[in-house]
Amino acid sequence: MNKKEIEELIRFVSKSGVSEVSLEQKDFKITIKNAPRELQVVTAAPAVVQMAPPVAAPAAAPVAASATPAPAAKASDESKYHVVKSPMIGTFYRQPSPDKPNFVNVGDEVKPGQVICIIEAMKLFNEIESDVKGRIVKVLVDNATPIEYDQPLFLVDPS
Amino acid sequence: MNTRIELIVLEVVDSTNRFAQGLLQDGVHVEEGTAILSFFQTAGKGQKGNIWESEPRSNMLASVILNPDFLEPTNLYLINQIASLSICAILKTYSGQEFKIKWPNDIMFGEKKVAGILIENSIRERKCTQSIVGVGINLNQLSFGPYEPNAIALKTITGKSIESIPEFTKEWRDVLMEYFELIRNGESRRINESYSKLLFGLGEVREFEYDGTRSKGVIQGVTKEGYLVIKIDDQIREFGIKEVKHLFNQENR
Repeated sequence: MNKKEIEELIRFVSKSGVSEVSLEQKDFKITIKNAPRELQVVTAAPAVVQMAPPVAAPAAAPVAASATPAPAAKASDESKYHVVKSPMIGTFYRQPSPDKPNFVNVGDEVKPGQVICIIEAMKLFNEIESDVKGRIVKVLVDNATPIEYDQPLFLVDPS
Repeated sequence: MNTRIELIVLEVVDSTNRFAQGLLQDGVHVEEGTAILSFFQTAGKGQKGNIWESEPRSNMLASVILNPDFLEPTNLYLINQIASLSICAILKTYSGQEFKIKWPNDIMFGEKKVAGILIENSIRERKCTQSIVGVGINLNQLSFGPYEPNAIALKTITGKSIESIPEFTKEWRDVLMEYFELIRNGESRRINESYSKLLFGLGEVREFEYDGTRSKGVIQGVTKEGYLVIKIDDQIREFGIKEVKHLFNQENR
């Protein structure tokens, strides 16, 4: 599957209203999730709104996509992306609390200083801010899972 | 001497931590060491959705803003340690009694909880640009609701009320800042030693649960990253937060 096909698939899923589509080929797996409807209308946690109203990306706005391409497909076109790595061991959270929307989704524009996730370590809640301006291309870790020091968390397209 | 805001007192607020975050995000210049005290919190942040139950004007619900940008994110447990130590110290000053730290963020008098800590950090380019140290200390509240069966207030221990909670808050903040200076001066090791000495259950045989099994063990201390060190069956083991649970007669929550 090439990039264009993936984009079309994302567009299709976002329009169709289905909640999730998984596609698996021989060496390739992609899961596209439609964010629940209310995520688009509910304002984010006050903390996030004040800092930077997320700018919706044209095509993929209502969609949270997480693709898991095979290693071979990955190397070439991901090298231009900025990798946000974990500064500590802990647990990765995408939302400020379980009833709040994600800090960022795939397709969102982020700018330096914007909170993109929380890492809980020893009951310390660490808000991780983006160190670059760009667009979230991929979220590399599932919500509420343990992470290691230096583990890649996000791919950001700085262009 | 510059005039500076030392203490912001709020009648009511959702949570002092959130208020502090809001100030900083709105670009309000807040000096390090500024304390925010509220007489009542509508959404006091406890751990993971637990609302901190507090009678109005009875307790210290406060947050202090620190800028520990000289600390590596992996060393941030030190902030938790100085918060714990500062609470134990101020309570000891007022009561003459020894208070203990129940790893990782409760302060105990005997088997009862007298204070809790919630720390929220902001990390940018691997620097901790700000740390909001949120603390709740039960001061004058004599009875607690069903959600806090294990709580106790300073007044129950000393028989005396704290007359001015704002003054108490400033005193606590000053102690916290003294400990913070110790970190700045490279005294981290000393902090860890003092902290480990005050650990609830230190040196006592207690029951722990890990990997789905129960074992007796003895707490030895914490690592500088905050792992709890327990000796179980003559083996020294280190545990993260979700990997081990203290078991009490009165089950902790």
